[in-house]
Amino acid sequence: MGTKRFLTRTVEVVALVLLCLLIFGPMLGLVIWSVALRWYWPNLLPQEIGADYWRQALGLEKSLAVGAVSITGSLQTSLVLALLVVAVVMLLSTPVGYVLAKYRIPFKGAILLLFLMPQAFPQQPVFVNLLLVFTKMGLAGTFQGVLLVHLMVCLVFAVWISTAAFKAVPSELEEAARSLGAGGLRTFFRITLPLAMPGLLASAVFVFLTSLDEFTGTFFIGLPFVATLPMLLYSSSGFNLQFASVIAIVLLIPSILFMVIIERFLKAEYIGGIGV
Amino acid sequence: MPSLSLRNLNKRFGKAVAVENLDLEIHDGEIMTMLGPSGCGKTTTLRCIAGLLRPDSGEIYLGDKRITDTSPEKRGVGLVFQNYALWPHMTVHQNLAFGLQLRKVPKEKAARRIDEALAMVRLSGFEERYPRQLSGGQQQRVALARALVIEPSLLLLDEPLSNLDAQLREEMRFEIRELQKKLGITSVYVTHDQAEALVLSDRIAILHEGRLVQVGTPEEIYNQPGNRFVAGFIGLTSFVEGRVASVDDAGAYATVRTEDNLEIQAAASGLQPGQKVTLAIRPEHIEIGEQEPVPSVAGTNLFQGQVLRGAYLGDIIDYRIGVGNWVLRANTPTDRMLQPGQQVWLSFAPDRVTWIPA
Repeated sequence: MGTKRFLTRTVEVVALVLLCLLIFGPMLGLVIWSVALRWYWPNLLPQEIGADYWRQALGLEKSLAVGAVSITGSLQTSLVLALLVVAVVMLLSTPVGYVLAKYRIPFKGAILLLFLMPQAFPQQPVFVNLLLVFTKMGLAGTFQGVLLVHLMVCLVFAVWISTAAFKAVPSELEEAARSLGAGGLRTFFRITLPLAMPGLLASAVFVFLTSLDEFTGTFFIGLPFVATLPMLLYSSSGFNLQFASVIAIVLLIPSILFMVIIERFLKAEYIGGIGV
Repeated sequence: MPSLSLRNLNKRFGKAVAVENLDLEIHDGEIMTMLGPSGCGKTTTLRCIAGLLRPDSGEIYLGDKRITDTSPEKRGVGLVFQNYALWPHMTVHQNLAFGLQLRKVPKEKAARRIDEALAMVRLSGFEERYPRQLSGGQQQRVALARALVIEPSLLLLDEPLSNLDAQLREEMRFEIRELQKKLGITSVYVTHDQAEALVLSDRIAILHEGRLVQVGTPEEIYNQPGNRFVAGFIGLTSFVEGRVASVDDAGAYATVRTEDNLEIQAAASGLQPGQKVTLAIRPEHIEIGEQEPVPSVAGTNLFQGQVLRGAYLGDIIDYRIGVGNWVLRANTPTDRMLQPGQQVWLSFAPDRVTWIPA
């Protein structure tokens, strides 16, 4: 029995280590690259490390070296854009999701499908066409243009998720509130909205991350005047792996942060009651 | 407490008729059960009373106030759901406080009323719990307290015990009945469970396919079912069809002859010779004998039959017994076992045979 248990345990540990490598391995490479000042073949690790690239990227130090990039401008563009997208998308998708979930409306399936349409076709042709339209409208290369593209991409998920979130709130809970004297609006804000909140928050986080990472649409509509972080990552990845690594890590931070928040929030016990 | 009156209520969903020409009067302080199989329109009716559905036509009066078009929040009706419908993001206290806040009851007074309501359902001390921390029975008692704490003029209960296990369900029947009597609140109780209806109700309204079939006290419904559906739905009943052959001189008893020439004596009240009738006989009124009784008493119904099969129910054994072309159900205590195929003699008093117009 003892050897058998030892064997099982060994297999478990090996599997765990492999899993960690699979998940964190690529990220570890990024971290090493972002601090590698000198790293020549055949060395397994960099010969010289330092935070120089980080300092330059964050604009703390100006360097005249070729390819030195400051990411602060793009970071700001990306964050402002993502937050705006979250605000607008949530303002739109919450009522739309509520109506789709709670009311009998004709062509409900068709409407939901319509929201999926932009995703149903290959992205490049869609955005190339959009570029033509936006150029005519004077939106190409503007912040507003990029904002519209991000809205189009994110609204899809948001409407679907919030519809599901509102659908998960049993109508008896709302009817109970009505019978106790609450009008429609009060019932929505005191009962329906709080109960749909975990789903809506998940949707908001998803929208935020999608906007932060959005590439194709921004590439066609935004460049060269509106450069978000993924644009910068793309343009530096070809020749300056250190900067690319720094940007990649910066892009990872909000994702990881939000994963932690989602995980903590979605664990909140009261949503366990929603499924009643 | 006001009475409730439903006048010629109609409700359709698309082409399906849910409620048709329903007239029902629920008296002040009475608990009325709407009983029927699923799809009979009982829940639809209840939702119309609560204001969650609008009837297509007809009127609803609470006391002398017409509430047909009143929105649900203005009706002042307490509502209890099958799945409790407690708000999972609020504590028991907050669940109960909700209705009082909307009525602008001052905080201290509200706290006192919440205490009283929780004491009433024996849940004092559970104020700070969340619904998920309570058992099903406790959750339903909280739901009841939440509906009662606003002192509604009408209490509506939609299958409130259907999600609970059998034993708890039995206890809660009495609890709800007692509470209702203590508060004297006019109540409408929807259920498909006839035992629940018999225990709980002052009167029972039987619904079938959207129509009101019979209204009466539990005794009336059980002993004088108005038609075959009611007789079959409430308790166990065997049916025998025949034609009235004769009525005795005093007009007290009638002889009903079946097509296979069985002659059954029944209480005649209102029967005319030649009339086609369905006779209803409850299993508990049938005596099973294993030998032919001698001498047979004149005036009782005595038939020879054959045991088809029996079902052991714990307290009794439920037999199906073939008599002529008919199958009658009858019981014995569990210490008396009959074998399938065995010859038996069934006897039952004419007074116990009720008739239903065929």
